[in-house]
Amino acid sequence: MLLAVVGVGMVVPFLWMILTSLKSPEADVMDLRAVFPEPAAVLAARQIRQPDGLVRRITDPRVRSQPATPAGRLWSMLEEPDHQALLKLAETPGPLDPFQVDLLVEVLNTLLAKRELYEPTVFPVAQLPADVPAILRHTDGQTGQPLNGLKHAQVLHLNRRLLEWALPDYIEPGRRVTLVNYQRVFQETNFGRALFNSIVVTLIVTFGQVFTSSLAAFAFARLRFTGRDKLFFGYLATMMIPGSVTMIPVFILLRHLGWIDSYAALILPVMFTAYGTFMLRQFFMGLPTALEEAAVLDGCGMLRIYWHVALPLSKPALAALGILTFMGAWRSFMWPLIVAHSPEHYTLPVAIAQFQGMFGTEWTLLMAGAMIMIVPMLIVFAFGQRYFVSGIRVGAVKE
Amino acid sequence: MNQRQNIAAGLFLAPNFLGFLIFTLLPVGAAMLLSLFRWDIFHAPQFVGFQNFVDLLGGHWRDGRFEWNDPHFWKYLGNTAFLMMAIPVSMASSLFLAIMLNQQIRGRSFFRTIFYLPTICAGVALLMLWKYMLNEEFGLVNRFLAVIGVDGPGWLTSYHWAKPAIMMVTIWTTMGGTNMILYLAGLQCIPPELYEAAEIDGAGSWQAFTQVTWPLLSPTTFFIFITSVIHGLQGGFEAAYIMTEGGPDGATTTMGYYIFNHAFQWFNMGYAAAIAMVLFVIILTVTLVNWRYGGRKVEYA
Repeated sequence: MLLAVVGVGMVVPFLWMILTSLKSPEADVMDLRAVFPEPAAVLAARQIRQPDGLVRRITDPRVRSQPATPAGRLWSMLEEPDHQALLKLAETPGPLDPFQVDLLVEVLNTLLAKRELYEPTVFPVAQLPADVPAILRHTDGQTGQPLNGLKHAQVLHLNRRLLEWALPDYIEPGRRVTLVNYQRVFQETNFGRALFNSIVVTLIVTFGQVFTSSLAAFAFARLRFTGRDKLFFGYLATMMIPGSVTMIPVFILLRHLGWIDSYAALILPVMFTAYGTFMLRQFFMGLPTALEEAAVLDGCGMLRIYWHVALPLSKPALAALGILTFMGAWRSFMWPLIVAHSPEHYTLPVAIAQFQGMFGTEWTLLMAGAMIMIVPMLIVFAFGQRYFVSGIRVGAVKE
Repeated sequence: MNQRQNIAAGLFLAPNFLGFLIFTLLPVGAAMLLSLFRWDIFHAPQFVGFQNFVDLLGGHWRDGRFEWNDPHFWKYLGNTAFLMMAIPVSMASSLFLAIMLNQQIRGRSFFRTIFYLPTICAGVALLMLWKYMLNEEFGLVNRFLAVIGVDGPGWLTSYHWAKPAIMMVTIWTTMGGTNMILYLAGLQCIPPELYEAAEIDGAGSWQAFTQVTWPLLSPTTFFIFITSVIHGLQGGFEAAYIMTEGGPDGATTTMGYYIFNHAFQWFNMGYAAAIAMVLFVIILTVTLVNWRYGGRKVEYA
């Protein structure tokens, strides 16, 4: 039936992701770290392990005819003599002899020395890794030799990153099934910290939002005060304001306070919404007043009515809002990207995005990271599913 | 009595309102002010009046030909509009799925959950997955096409296919989401007697749809359309950042991404605020038009 087809369409990408995250990171093609295991400002012949594969990659006719891809760009950056050299090498059956490897090394060194390799405008498809320009400023553009002060580790980093970035499709997931990617994700990056940050920030934001929204919603629904409806309308109106408008001044404010790159910056600005207030107000207004009137007769103050009467009755709506808020905060990307500058403060989405810069081509790792971000959401959703669907209806139904 | 209620209300509202004031209301005013300056945070701000807007929206004559001051702006505005064409398709798909799910079939809630999965997991992780799936060499999409014998394009790295690719992803992600749930709720509110009456009158299933279902769903459709448009005008940021970084040669840069770049990559705070203001005005206008025009077409049962 048709449903089944669509259902399959929905599910397949997820299965693919899970599968890839479990795959071994070894490549059928080539792992660049196997190719360039040692650092050098200028490549030496002994450093290239599988030169024939590399040559094949650059000279692949499909690839080099597409200047839009990085590998194609690479091709177009070489001069004609180098083209001929590489093509000749590619035609060679079997492994390359030392002579030919030397030739390859020469060509590659020419490439590494080219300034265009470092221009983001020339390579629009992939963004230059952030740390590369800083290192490059210490490198002599002509010979590729590092100037004084460049550390061994930096050069290693530089070489690897440049070529990975220039040939991003180099690493293809292997065939075996293993859990090693999950292990690597936590070991090789700051992902564990990001996970922790995400959990903490999301929980605090969720509680904060639900709490403050319910207070405000109760006031709007049950208390009569001057200017109530006008104020509420103002709240509603602000829901239409694009985030882009408010984010800039808030950023400036936080910077002024010195709160950039802190938990306060991650949590406070997002803790207040009009949406939650709106949704809960609708709900509160729908509650029968009988209980509240009885409470008033018993001499309860407003706060008590709120706490003992309204809140318990509205558990479904609160749960729905809580889940919505949780999910929204968990996957929130733009704001943490703007305010979290040091890796200690990254949340998961930001960490995954930065991942791309570090492990741009290692899809197995990336998929493992993505899984880690998704699974908690699935868990929360599974728990709160009952409340969730009814909650959306509450928010959307017109009075 | 009123006095007490006022005080109580004040206390109740305080936390929310304070946050609202500091992080929403005041910033809007600040943004308006900011758009009149040129400021890169590291130096003092310079007052430039409306120059930012002139730079953004205006044009000039050069060698007898008219040129925009900021051609990127118009291009990205066009991108945003183009990407919003995914909205009707997504809405139609949601409606279609909702209608299918409305029938009494086994495993109904199972399917509903599956369709909702993309919405639950939405965000950076899913975009990463799709970036992988659209990968020219290893991606599932091209591998699948290869099986049929079609040579898949570069999708996200191709100037012409990047936007359709993003539209595809958007539709996939939103198809079975909140909109579908809203439509389901709306469908369940339609009294079955109407369908019976239609059947008696000799209506086929298509006519039953156009005469009964569609009109009665119009409030829901209206709501979904407005919210989707508002969302679409300011969105596209995550997709642009994660999947294409603005696309091959600016093909997938949206307004949201453009504002981000100006503000946080190039530190043109004032200019970015100006763009944001323009975007705000666009959203207001479009919503108003929608409201007036659509509001008249909506029927209430």
